[in-house]
Amino acid sequence: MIDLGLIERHRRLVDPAAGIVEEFLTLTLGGADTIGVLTRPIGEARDVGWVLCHSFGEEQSHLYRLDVMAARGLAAAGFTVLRYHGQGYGDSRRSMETVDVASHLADAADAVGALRARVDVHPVGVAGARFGGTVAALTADRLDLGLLALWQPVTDGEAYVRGILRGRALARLAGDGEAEPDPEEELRRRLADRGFLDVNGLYLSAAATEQLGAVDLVRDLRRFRGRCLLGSVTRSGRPDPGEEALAARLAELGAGCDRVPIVHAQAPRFGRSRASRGVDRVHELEERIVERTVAWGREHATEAPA
Amino acid sequence: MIREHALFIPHASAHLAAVLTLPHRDPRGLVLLLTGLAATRSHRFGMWTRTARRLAAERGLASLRLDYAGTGDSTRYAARWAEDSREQVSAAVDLALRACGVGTFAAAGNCLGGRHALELAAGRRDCVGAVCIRPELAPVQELIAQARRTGTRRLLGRGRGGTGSRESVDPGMAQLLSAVAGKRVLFLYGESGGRAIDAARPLLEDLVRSVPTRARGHLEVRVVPEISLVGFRSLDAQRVTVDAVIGWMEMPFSPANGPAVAGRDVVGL
Repeated sequence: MIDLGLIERHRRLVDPAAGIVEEFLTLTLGGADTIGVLTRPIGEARDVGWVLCHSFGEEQSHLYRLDVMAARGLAAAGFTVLRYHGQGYGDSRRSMETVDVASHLADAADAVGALRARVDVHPVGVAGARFGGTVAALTADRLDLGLLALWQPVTDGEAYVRGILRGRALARLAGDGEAEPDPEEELRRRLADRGFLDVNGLYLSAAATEQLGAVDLVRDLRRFRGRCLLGSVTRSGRPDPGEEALAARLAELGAGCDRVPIVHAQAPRFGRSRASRGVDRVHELEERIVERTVAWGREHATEAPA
Repeated sequence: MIREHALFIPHASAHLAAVLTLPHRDPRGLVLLLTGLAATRSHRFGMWTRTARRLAAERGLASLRLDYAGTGDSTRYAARWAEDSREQVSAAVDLALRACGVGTFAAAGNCLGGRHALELAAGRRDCVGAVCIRPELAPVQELIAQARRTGTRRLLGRGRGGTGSRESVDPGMAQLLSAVAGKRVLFLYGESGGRAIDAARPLLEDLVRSVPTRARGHLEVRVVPEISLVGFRSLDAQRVTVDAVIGWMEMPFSPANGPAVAGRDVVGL
């Protein structure tokens, strides 16, 4: 006999040391069920709520722990935070064949609605790393949200697609059983013929590739006028041209943009495989990202338009 | 209609995040789905999520997929994983068995998860079988420690390069396999990629030879031709693994639980 009472009692955790309460939710995002996690402070909560948008494909799992740490860090600072598995990811109902840019944006918009429906928060901010940052920025722009936190957002979708295809080739070179990587043109031809490509186990659809390639974040931001943390993660400290252009675009739109650089030896691993010999190589880097995000959130939370 | 419940399972100072998948009727048994280090509970591109839902729909089996402490949605913040992962897994099973109202379970996992699956089958009376996907057969932790001491970067060179000496089988694995006598165990390998089956074959042979004859009847070694299961880095690898786990899981929960196909293909028993 299934013990539903026992199951229900374990749906949430209370961590007095961290000062947070966290609970699993069933959400309907993008037209189907999925899992969300709501993280709140044990004590009095601030008015501002956050939705964390995850990245695309393999980056979603590589950056998952950053999202978890960010949610708990922000909640410990008094914010209410919702994160979720977009359709095609993790414990969501739909399969990965359904993933594209449109599904990411639909999930994010629904997640903002889900947070507002459950908790009395205003304003709502959105945050994300890599392509999750891109989704957050586009969502803030479309929904007129007042707060935005981005870490190394993808500004050039076409370059991002090239990186994914290059990753497939590199994995094969590294010894997954095939001596010769396929050239990019061959992969694109195969993608067009079959309608999808197997990228190291990721089902990359032609629709997703086309939509990703069309993303130009600098061009696509049209009206965001809130406050934005624009974080860069580099080993050298050299500014990224895409982020420079994005900062200029935010200024042009009348938004407040706070550049937050983090220089770290493990920066090249950001958004990539984090494990090496049983050790999490990017944990310290991500702790710094969370610290900076929380500090920025505390400083600017009250300025954002509701 | 299957049901899914996400849980936080207390263990020591941590809370382990997990998802319990239930069939529409009372489950026939429980399957524990484990990952290697650093992977989250749904595994690569939702592989264990798909497995869990098919186990419920096609086999009437509940399943639990789990984030180790410090990974996924579990708590604890540490740069080094898995120090007490065996105890974490056992704590999660205890709660899941109570939640499902069943008395037996089987476990499946790759890498470290495969090792834990075998440990559960060896150490717990209520564990009826284990699927071990590409388990490490050599004493990897010792080799890593040795590599750190000596600075020999290629000591774990995927069976090539290395030190030139032939690896010996992990005596702990041999003990575990002896201890699972009478329970079903599947070792699943891909023919190509990474530590390919050619490299694992001598270790497998040593391992099976170390097991008492009476215990070999329930051991099956299956090699998937022309596929690498390393990191499940292809759609085919994921599909084959999911199918293998779902197909195999019928047997340990079947009332007519006869002997497995012993040592097929590789070990030639």
